[in-house]
Amino acid sequence: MKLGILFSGGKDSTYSAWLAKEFGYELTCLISIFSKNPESYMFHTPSIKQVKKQAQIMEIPLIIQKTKGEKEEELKDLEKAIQKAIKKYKIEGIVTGAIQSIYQSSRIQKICDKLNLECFNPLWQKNEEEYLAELIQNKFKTILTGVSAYPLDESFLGKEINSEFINELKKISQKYKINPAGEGGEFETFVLNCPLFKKEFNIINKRISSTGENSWKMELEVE
Amino acid sequence: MILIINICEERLHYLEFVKPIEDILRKEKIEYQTIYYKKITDKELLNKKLEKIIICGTSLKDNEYLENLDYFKWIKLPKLKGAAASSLGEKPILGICGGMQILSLIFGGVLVENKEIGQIKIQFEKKFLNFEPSLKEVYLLHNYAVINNEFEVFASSERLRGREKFKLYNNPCEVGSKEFKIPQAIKHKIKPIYGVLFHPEVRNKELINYFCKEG
Repeated sequence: MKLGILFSGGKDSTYSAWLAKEFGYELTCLISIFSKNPESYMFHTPSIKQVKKQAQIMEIPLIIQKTKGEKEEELKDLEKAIQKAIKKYKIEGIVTGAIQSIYQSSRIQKICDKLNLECFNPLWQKNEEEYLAELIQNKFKTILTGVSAYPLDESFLGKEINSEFINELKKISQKYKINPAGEGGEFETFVLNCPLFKKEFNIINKRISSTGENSWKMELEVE
Repeated sequence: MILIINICEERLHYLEFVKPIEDILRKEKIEYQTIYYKKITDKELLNKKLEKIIICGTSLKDNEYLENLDYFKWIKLPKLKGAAASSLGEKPILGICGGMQILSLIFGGVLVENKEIGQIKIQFEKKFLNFEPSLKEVYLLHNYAVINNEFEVFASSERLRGREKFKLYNNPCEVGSKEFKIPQAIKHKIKPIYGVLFHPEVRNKELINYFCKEG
């Protein structure tokens, strides 16, 4: 089955894509939404433009759709992007990185249903700690590019998700009740290397900015 | 031991509809075995360790199991004979979404078109497993509901606003009325067979735990 991956360049969509490939599916194209709204309910924004380089290194075609990121309106832009993928690449299903968010997953389910596509959520309900451990075990090199939940602060930006980070996060999540996988927007990530990539990215430039109270993001440039 | 039955036609859907249930059981150290519905044999059904059965759901687009209900005939009429058949007929079964549809259809129920996607609140009128009568938030993902008088309804949702009739699956005629409600939680009137149209592995994991330990 030909699949289109809703791809943000972060760990959830990249790991979901890898799982789909491991289960024998064809990763036909990536679909990325560039949102102008950093507070988007649906789409990841830090370092989103770097997905072009990730797509190149995976040798998978990429469809980009821009959106203003207005609530619900952004879904129409997502639908447009999926329609392009159907027309150009004849995809038969969509893969998402949804873990717990019913808000995101039910909206994507409705779009897939409307467009007569299968909808796959391979990380759905996955235990967060088990998930982070699997990322390391399967050689995903992932760093934090956005934080927006106390006590996470700008010092976490650029940290790699490794055993040390998982232990630190475990302590923080027990005390402050944040989602250890960061799916509630607590943190955003960027994948520098994984089994889908032909080689690892190097960071050649980074710019950190505050995006509100207890909220920072890091725009990367990689090569 | 709990027998988990996977009805997903697409392999990747195992991770979405079956593994979350395995994870709940593993966390509680409950022994289980998972098998695809077309591969169930007497070996699994006669396993002396078998205590209960869970039939999982599948994706919106996957209706293959509805065309293959013969694989579930053992639920109503075990082809086994004597004590083994009698014992199997008394094993508690929990059907989730597509699993509930299968249980109802095997006992002569009717499938009606009724798409519901997302989180809603439903009222439990009576105690259902460990759910006390109350309003509960549940996650729905289905195209069809089932109606069967052999089952008692414990919770239901209102039909979708604006719809006055329900189409029968694979049948051009229509049934239903404005008062029609969608059964969301049911139990067979005689057997320990339970069905939920919602997905308890999302937001209501304690229901699965209770079924496995006490149900």
